[in-house]
Amino acid sequence: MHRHELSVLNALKEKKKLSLEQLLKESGLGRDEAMWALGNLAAQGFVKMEKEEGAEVRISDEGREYAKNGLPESRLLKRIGERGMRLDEIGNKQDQIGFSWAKKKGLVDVAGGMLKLNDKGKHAAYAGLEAETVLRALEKDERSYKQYRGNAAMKELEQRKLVEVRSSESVGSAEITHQGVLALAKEKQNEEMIEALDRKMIKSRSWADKKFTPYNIKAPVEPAAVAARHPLRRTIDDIRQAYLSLGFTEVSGPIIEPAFWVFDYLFVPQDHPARDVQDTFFLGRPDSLNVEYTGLVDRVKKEHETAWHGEWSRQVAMQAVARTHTTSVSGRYINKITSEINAGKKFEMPIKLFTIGRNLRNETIDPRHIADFYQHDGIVIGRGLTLANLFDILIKLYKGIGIGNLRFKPMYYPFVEPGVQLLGKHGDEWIELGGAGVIRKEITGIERSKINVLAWGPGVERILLVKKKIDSVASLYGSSVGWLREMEGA
Amino acid sequence: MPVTVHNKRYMLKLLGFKIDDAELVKNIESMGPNVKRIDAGEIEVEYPANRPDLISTLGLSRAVRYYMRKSRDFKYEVGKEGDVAISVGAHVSEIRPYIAALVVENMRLGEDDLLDIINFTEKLSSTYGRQRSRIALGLHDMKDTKGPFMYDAYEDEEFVPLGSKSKMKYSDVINSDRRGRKYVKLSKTGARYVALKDSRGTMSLIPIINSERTKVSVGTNRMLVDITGVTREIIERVADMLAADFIDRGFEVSRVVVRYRESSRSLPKMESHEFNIPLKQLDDEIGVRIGFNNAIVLANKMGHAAALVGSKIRVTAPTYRLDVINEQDIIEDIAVSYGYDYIQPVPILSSEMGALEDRTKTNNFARDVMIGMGYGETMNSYLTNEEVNFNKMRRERDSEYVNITNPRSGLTTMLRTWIMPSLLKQLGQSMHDSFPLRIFELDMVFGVKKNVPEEKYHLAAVSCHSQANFNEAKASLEGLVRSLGAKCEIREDDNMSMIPGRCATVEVGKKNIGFMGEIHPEVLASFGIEEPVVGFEIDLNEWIGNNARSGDEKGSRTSKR
Repeated sequence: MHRHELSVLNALKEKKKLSLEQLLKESGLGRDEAMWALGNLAAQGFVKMEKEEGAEVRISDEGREYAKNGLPESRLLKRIGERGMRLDEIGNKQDQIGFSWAKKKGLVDVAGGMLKLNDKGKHAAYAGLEAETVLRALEKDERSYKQYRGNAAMKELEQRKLVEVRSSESVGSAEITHQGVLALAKEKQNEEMIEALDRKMIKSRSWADKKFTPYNIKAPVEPAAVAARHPLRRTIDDIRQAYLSLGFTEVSGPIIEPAFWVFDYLFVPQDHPARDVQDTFFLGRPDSLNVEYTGLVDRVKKEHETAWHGEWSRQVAMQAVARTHTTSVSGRYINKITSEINAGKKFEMPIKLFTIGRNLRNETIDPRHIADFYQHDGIVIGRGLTLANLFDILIKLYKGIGIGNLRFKPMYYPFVEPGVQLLGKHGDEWIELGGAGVIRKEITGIERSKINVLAWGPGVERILLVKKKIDSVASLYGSSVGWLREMEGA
Repeated sequence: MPVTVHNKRYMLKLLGFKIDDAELVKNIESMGPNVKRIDAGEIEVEYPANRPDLISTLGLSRAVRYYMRKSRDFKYEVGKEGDVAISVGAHVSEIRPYIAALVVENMRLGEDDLLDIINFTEKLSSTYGRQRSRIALGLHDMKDTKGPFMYDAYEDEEFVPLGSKSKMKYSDVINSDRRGRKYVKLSKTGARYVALKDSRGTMSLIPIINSERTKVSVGTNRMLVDITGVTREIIERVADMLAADFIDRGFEVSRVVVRYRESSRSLPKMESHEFNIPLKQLDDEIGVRIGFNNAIVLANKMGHAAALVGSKIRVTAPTYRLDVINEQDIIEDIAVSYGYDYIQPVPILSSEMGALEDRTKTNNFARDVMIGMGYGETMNSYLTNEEVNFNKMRRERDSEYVNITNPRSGLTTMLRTWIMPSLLKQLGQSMHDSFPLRIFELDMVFGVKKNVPEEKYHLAAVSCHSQANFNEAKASLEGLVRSLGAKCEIREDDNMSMIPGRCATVEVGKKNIGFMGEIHPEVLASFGIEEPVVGFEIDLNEWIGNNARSGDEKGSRTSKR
């Protein structure tokens, strides 16, 4: 018998029956040790346990957000107020959720494109919604669950996945049985059996004429919490491996850039929607950043003004932004290499480079949306490179990443011509992976008959979503430790 | 990609031949657009942003007809200048200096035609026209108009706006209408408003609303189209595109004279763009052998006129193709026409070896060490706000962080300067998970000194459980630093985020690389953490490898600028 089991039986011997807390005190064992010993003893019929029922309450991220700022429908009720609200003012997803719950709960009436509170709605706007009261109470103290168990508001919260309730059982008290008393007595006689093997016994071979006490090998244990690389990091490294195996060299570049490298160098016109404040983070500190190559800036200005007709502003190009794609890194290297070629430097062609990095887009942040995302960008610089070469290398690259079935469709991006969209087969569905193409000569500044650049820049998270069945990219960032542990086997 | 919804019956009428849904979708998608939905009544099509000519149902069916070889050479002729001339006044020069126009004659508009034309011009103004800032269009029935026509900015005056029964002032139109409020900046210059007028008054308050008097209807026989904007070349090319659209509907188009103070223009110009491309260049760029006859057919299928001239093909792009800049765009068209699905992949010959960046290798090794010590890897957003980065950590806000001027929400107002707050936030969300909680992150943090940005790799780790103590963190830190080939010194320090007397700075070779210790209980409470936390955060750039991370050879990020 293990010494923890002995400690438990000894503690129970005098008092017959103890609560778990008393038992811990009497035996001097830790909770995990005592639970383990009790499990073993109960399995052999040496103790009897009384269970206590409880519940474990978990509030989701979305639930916490609502507890703080109110349920979407109650926010909506406040906005509707006395005056009502036009239906077309229902804009973002939150509004839509709010609207559908307000309707479901019969709080609003719709007439002539207007949204009005009915009597029930007015009362709710004044007195608050019960579900919200319960959510706030739970957020403050999860033990208040007992009070709300089974009521309608509680059921609603569970149904909306704002709150998750798991019933649990724990040990209330333990009592020694008659067999237990006998076993304890027998144990006293068996003191000669080996409990724990130690260094001295191994060296002296003193174990040879003794027996080992057998353990209960079926006793339940809590699996160890393993530590591993993050699933997104593993995908990034898989992609790196695929590039390496095709002979590509890794490069990287800044995240904080002048708009020049993110847009202008890549031939994206200054009034292009992607440059809108709705999509790109503009920085206040640093506010503007220089581009060292004066000749390049002048050439880019000329290319833009010829092709896009409008006036090209240096100030707009030097605005500091957070990059919205890693194609800025490809651009920096295309510029570096083509300008060295122009200066007479010789290279072994083709040159194959890749980068994988984080980008930021100005998204509205909520439990399902995040501004961060990764992209992998590859370029091949050489002579006589063709669209057929581009297709070949992409097929091989994605085979390496684990997507064996690839299709190409025409697509427009300002920096490439021809432009290509990559589609990958997942089950029966073709999903969009990202863009590719042959870089325009306006960017390289060299005729294509001399130098051609193949380029691509698809997303990374998409690959992970397909392969690991994660429902939203947002859950990859800032997740709970529990989520990380669940993902480790995936 | 932007989307238009087409009436299927109307589309089939314009096509002029029978075709089933599957065949129609296949042909449309082969040219580049995506069909999102097709049912009994409608086809919803995503068109490439550089192809506004595909917005109208006429334009899309025209493209399908060429692609399926039902149409051949195009011919766009416009009539001479008629009686219509527009004089441009001086007051628009600062706000919206240019106007182009054309007159459509002998129109016989069906209900469907009218809807298609209105949809086309509306969508064109909002997408290609960048919400009317780059271009805006107006359609006017000429029945009740009388020259001379004038384009200028005028003082506040009255007219009957489209859809209204009574006269309103410009200022009232702007204040009472949602569109008015949205576009006021494009219309108002000083106390004046941009408008198109004839001798009978206002035809259009530009770019907001037309007049009821010149409303276009099924009965309209003669129509004036105005296109205004800030770049002359763009609006004049749009005029060319619209003229082609109307001519393809079987209407006649005649020219309009636009008189600026210095010069005058006769529009539409109906310019076509011609390119001579060696056949060899086609083969060399696409990577297939095409052949002369085939090249001509492929160009025709995309709507271009093409002919053989010596060893080159001469391609003439129709006036409505605003996207064609030079021969690269024609080569793409020929590749698309050939069909991406039919281009056989060809391997690139190259025997070069690939390599990872040193930084990648060092970072991944440090991650392996942390995982070996039982810390799980985590990833967090680079974005944060001052509340999390400073206030919750009991830290003074400084002016050496990268801030964002246009965040969509209060959660993304700056780039993080350290990783620790992200990890504590995660611990706060993990109070229901089984203890001990041990996580780390190795990724980027940001700063800015004298307008020069800094991007660095940090490694931060935390351990949270009832027995967590200073020595646990110290043991992990020293194990990590030793495995990376260095030795660190711990020096007493005060750090507002930590418990006094239980925190320290970390030095490698006399250089401060970070801090370690036990997190202050007030910080724990602000993140909702209920057990003690120990941890550390160190800068990996300061002492491992180099930090040259840019595409130029000018060295590290900070010295470059």
